[in-house]
Amino acid sequence: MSQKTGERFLSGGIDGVIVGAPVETMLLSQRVIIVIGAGGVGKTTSSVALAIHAARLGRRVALLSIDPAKRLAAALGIELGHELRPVMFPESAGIKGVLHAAMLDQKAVFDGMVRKHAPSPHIADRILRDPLYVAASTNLSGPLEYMALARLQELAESPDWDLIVLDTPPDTHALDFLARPNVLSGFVENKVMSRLLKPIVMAGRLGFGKVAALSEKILGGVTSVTGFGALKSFGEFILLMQEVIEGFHRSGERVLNILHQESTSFVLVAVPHKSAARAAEALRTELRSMGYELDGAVFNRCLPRPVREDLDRIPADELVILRARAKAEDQIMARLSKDIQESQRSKGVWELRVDDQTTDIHTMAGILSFSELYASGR
Amino acid sequence: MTQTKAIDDLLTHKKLLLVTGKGGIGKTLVSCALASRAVALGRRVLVVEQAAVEQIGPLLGITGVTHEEKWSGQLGVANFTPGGNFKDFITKHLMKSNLLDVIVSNKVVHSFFTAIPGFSELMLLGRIFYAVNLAPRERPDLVILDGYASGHFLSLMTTPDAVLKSGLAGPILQQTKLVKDWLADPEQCASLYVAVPEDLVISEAIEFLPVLASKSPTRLGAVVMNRCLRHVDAAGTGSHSSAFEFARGRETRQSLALEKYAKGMSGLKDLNHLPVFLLPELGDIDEPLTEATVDKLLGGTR
Repeated sequence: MSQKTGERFLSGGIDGVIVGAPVETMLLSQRVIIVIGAGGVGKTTSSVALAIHAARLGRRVALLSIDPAKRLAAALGIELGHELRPVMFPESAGIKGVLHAAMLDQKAVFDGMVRKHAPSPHIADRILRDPLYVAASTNLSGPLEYMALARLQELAESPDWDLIVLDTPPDTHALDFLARPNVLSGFVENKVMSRLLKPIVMAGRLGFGKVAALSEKILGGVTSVTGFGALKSFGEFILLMQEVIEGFHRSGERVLNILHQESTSFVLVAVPHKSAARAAEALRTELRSMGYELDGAVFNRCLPRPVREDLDRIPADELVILRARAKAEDQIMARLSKDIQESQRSKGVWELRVDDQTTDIHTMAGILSFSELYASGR
Repeated sequence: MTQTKAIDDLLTHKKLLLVTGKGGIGKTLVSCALASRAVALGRRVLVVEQAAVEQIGPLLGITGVTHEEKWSGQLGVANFTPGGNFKDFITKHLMKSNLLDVIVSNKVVHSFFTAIPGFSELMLLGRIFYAVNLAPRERPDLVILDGYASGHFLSLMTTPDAVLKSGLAGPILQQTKLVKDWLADPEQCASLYVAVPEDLVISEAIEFLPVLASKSPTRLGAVVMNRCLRHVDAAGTGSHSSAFEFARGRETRQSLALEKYAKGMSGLKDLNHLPVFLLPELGDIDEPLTEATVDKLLGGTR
């Protein structure tokens, strides 16, 4: 079934020549799509566009996005939050299926977890007020990814959804959780934390007088650098997280199973900039080292074809900046394309080049029309 | 004062520049261009990042950027790691090598520290403080941190306060006080916010800058507006082509975005005088950066 590279090339551009419809094939046949990419490449927008187009094709789609642009959530008319909310499209949009989206906001997710799992409202309040918790809860990476994977598993195993689109965080570390969802990397390593912290939390409850009795060599070392007082609230927070994460730990194998299914696709989003291309290559390499292959790649912010054709016609000393950009884009795209086509998948990797948008796409009308670029033809 | 003079002023007088902004808008380019210029101005400059995928090396023409500072003449680079910073804190900063076994090499204790919220942020700031103020010899005159994207940067900058209020004690608290006081010294430290003149980015800037200004101990030094288009000559022979239309359309949207920025800042007492440096769009950036490219970006020096 393998096609020539040239035939896999798609264009979302105005005069794009479309051969085949691998994006729609993916949207219609797959169960899970995981979208990866560096920061600032339009990854969330592309995830939303993929999800909307799948819904347009009649599928029941759940979209999980991590830390999305507020404006995008506003454009979709949903609140940032852990729960899936239906996106209401105007009737004229002709969306046959349904789209529900959860835009996971790190702090909201954390706060919710603390409230849900804390042994008492009193302790929950104390953790929520802890200044380090407040500072960290907006940006701590790790637990949120686990939460997203837990939701992914739950949704993938539910008969309510045909397709789940997961928009991953814009950080290469983000892929760690795909590598070993069953290992509690970094944040809470196995039982280590609880062994270390339970005495501290206990000591806090018992009063400082008992601390001396508990201060074995290790704790002595830690507290010689940090002092003792603050360890208590960290301790409570980390113990809570550990319980939450261990719950997920038990289902880690099932998530790995989902990630390795043929019905799960990975899509890379990139832009034709040198630094972004480097980040994309690093992501792709990391993904492969984990045993996953890309199904497709979306290149945002490409120069529209008519613009490029005009550049060939007008004098070389005009629009020199745009010309430099076009030349750089050619080189970077060739490099990126070569990199991603070194895939072990027999069916090859589809590439979708999306024009640099000239209008605001962060409105319902804008994102709807943008998502049509993901269609096979017009 | 011209823009070039203002930039050179910052590079001559500050000891720390913290560069931040939304993802994918050219933070690393700005950091590296500023570093090259500062070296040209005769300063000894260390460019620091803390990133999974190293980005400053290719722009500065230095390969193999790791946690260890690597110097080439007056230009140094480092890609700090949280673990490395922690080790440096214990052994270099506190000079308590006897604690190394207990704290750094002990996996249990190490994972405890790395699990503390904000810990790696604190260690990064501490490591930079050490490089500028405490390192035994050949300290850099200027450190440029090619920093985290906006949200994470805010978290980085609020960490010292959080630590000071958290009930921590001992050496960490004492050092955190020193670091925070230094970061808050407007003579020595400034942060730079990189943006591009696009509607969405400007909206985020208008929302983010007042929050950063109110929460970060380090004062904002300037906004660096990257990828500003030059005026397109409408009289070109191809002026009716779609390429010209495309270029003009972008230019129009940029003007609107810049107006929006000015309007958004005008009502803000502390930010309405914040300098805005306009850096031109070049279409493509040389790697490594050449002096000519740096001059095009920041204006010619001499």
